[in-house]
Amino acid sequence: MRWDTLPVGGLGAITTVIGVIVMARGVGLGTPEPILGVVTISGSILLWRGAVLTAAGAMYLSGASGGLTDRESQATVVMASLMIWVVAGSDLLATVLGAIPGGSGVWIAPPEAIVAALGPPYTPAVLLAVLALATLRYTGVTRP
Amino acid sequence: MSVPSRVLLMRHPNVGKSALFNRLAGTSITESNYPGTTVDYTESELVRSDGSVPIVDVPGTFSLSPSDRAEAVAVEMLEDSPAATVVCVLDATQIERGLNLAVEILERDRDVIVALNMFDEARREGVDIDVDRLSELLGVPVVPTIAVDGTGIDALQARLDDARNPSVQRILERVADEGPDGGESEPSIAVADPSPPVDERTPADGETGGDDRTPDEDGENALGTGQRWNLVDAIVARTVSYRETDASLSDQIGRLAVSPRTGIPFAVAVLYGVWTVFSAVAGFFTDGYFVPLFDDYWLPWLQSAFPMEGSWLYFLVVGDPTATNSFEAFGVLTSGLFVAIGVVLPAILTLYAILAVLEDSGYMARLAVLLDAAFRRIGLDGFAIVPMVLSFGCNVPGVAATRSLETEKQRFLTMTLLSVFIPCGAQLGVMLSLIPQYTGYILLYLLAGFFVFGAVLNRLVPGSAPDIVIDIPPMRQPRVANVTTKLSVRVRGFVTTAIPFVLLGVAVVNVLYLGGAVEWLANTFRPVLSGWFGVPGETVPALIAGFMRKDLAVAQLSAVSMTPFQTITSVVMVSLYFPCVATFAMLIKEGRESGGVLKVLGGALATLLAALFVWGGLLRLIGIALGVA
Amino acid sequence: MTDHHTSQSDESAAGTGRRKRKRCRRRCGDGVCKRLVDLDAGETGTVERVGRRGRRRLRSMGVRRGKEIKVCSKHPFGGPVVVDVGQSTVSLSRAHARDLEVATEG
Repeated sequence: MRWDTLPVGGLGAITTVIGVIVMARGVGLGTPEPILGVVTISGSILLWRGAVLTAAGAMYLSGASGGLTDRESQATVVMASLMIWVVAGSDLLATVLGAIPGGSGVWIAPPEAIVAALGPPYTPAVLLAVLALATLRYTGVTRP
Repeated sequence: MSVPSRVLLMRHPNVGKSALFNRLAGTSITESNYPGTTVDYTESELVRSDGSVPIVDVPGTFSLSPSDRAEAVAVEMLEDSPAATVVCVLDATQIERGLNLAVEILERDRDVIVALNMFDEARREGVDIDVDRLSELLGVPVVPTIAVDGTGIDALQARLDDARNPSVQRILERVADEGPDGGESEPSIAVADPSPPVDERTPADGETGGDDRTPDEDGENALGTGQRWNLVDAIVARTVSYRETDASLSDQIGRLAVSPRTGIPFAVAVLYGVWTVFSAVAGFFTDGYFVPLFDDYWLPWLQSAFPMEGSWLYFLVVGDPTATNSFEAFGVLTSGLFVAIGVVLPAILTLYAILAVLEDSGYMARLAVLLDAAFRRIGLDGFAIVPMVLSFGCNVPGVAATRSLETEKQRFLTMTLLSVFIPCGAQLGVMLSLIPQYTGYILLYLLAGFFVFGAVLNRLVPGSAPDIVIDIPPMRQPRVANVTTKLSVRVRGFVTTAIPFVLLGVAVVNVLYLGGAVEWLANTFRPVLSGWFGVPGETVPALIAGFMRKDLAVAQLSAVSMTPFQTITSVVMVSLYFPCVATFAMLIKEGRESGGVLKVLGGALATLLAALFVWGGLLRLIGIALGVA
Repeated sequence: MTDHHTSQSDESAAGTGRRKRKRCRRRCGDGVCKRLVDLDAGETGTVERVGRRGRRRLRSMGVRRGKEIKVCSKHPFGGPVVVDVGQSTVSLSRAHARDLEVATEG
């Protein structure tokens, strides 16, 4: 067993739990809000987002249990990260593009307002996306 | 030596290879429709020192014995220009089947030059090609190219005049003379024999059928499929060596993306990204800029500047003189222009860009494979996802995209189903702001309807779904230049062909209003609608508005006081109700090539009525069963 | 019948090649010759016969007799079968996969 199965497994566990919470929120169950002051589970199509996160978590776990020594389990882990980046990236893009027009009479909002829109609280996917950066190490040359 | 009068680029149908065309082509790339078909091809001018010649990107084909419409067009284009120089673009990573096509083109007596594209990638993947030897054996110039960064393009240009037309017989002789390369096993000894090898003619074999040869292929230069492959194998044995390399990470990811267990969750994530990026970008343009632009500047100006207020012409062009937003003015140059430019254009721009990225990255083929089983149940194939995704943005490009589907039946089914069941982006946006908690369920209900009615239509409409073979390209990083070229060509084509239809459609609706036809319809159907579905009669004007723009209709519904369940029912009804006027116009335009306008419109209307009453009525039954209706 | 089309499994089995080929045709299937659709994901074989259905397309894409073929994935609910052949990856419908015979080692 390689040492990195542990952090990847941990990432998988966290991602799965968060995904399940988001899905629970999506079907109308109450969850604490905001969590730790920086995480907010809000917005539309939560069920969809939660499902993606849960699946990504499961793929991390499956990659970690595969031992991370072969290309396939490494690729599974990178793919799970890709899924998280897709969700986080498109959420951030939506935030930025939503902030630029600046409302009535203003064609382009002042830069401060755009930067302010990027502040916390964040969606869980954005935080997970940062953690998932660690899996970039598998995109390098194969290790024996 | 020949100076080309026309250059045909022939290649396999695959992503990214039109990159080479974009490199060779001048600035004026145009997409045209091949007469009498729904197949499109691109054309441009190749600028040379001594003037320019037309260059055509022939639709991709695997062979010259066509097995689908695009391939048939490719063959026809080759046959129609006997004097053309053919640039045979081979994917160096898959050189075997590329050579198969090249040899087949040589059999047709054309001046040929071979471009060995993706030469760098082939080398990385352990495919080493002896270019000089290959050129010697084939008797035509062979130029290694890397289209994405422009390597080899100048050399290819410079050597166009050297394109040759060697006889296949000579190639066979050269290959036989030279003997196999190194100690590799000889794939075939039969190539040296001018007469067909015996085993290829063994009737019991069943491998060589008459279906492989078309009559015009039977020239003295023609080979059978088996012979051709033997020749290719022999050439490859003499010019190509394969090194073992590890599968790269992107290969592995490409593989995982097309396995059900990992591919389906990944597809769910990708579709989420498509949807979010689409609504963000399209919303950015439409709500951020076009709505204020049209409402605050264009509309007031036109309302005051256009003469003859109160005349029928004013009503037709400007619409309601007191309207304060471009949704509700209903004039050709107010609502019509706003829908066409402010709503549809940003939507299709965004979706076309996303689709170009998905195609160029090689993901689209994988998505099609993953979804094939589901779509097969309703007589479609995996590629039906393309019009479907477009429709979630706007039904208009969705209907336009059905032309890439193979059979008339598939085009008809897809057009009908998506214009009835798929709510467009604008409508979904309003739904999300009005009834966010129910939107997901409404969407699922509509999708279920899509598949249920698809299955029924599939039984009713004659014809069968052809079994398709999908070539899965390797995953590649999409190139910005390529995506933008593709985007500009498609958007230009869309603007020039579809937008006039949208404007015309608005004009027709206005005429119907003037004649009182719409009001008459509303009054006639009012009791039916409220009786059958249990929604208040006040919703009927909203349904009429739905013909203009469905999101507006949904917004109007919010003003009517209803129980939550009535709200859901009426929103579902608006979705199922008549396609918006732009889609309707597009159905007329595309219907001409998919079995006739009358058939398409009649079929769509029948489906629409059935869907409205059955699916809407079923919803009410569900409501009664749940005790909420 | 000349030998240059002999599949790899036949070569390895030297003299028994001809007999094997015969059994193949009759599909008596003692594990040597199978329809592609009966292979599981990850299994490999050598293409023996490409059925009439879609043959023209498949052959032009490089799926032809004597080529090694590997099943990458099989999609559920009658979905397509994805195979690696040579340098290419191709997805076949179930109907095509039923109509394609491969020789396998075991």
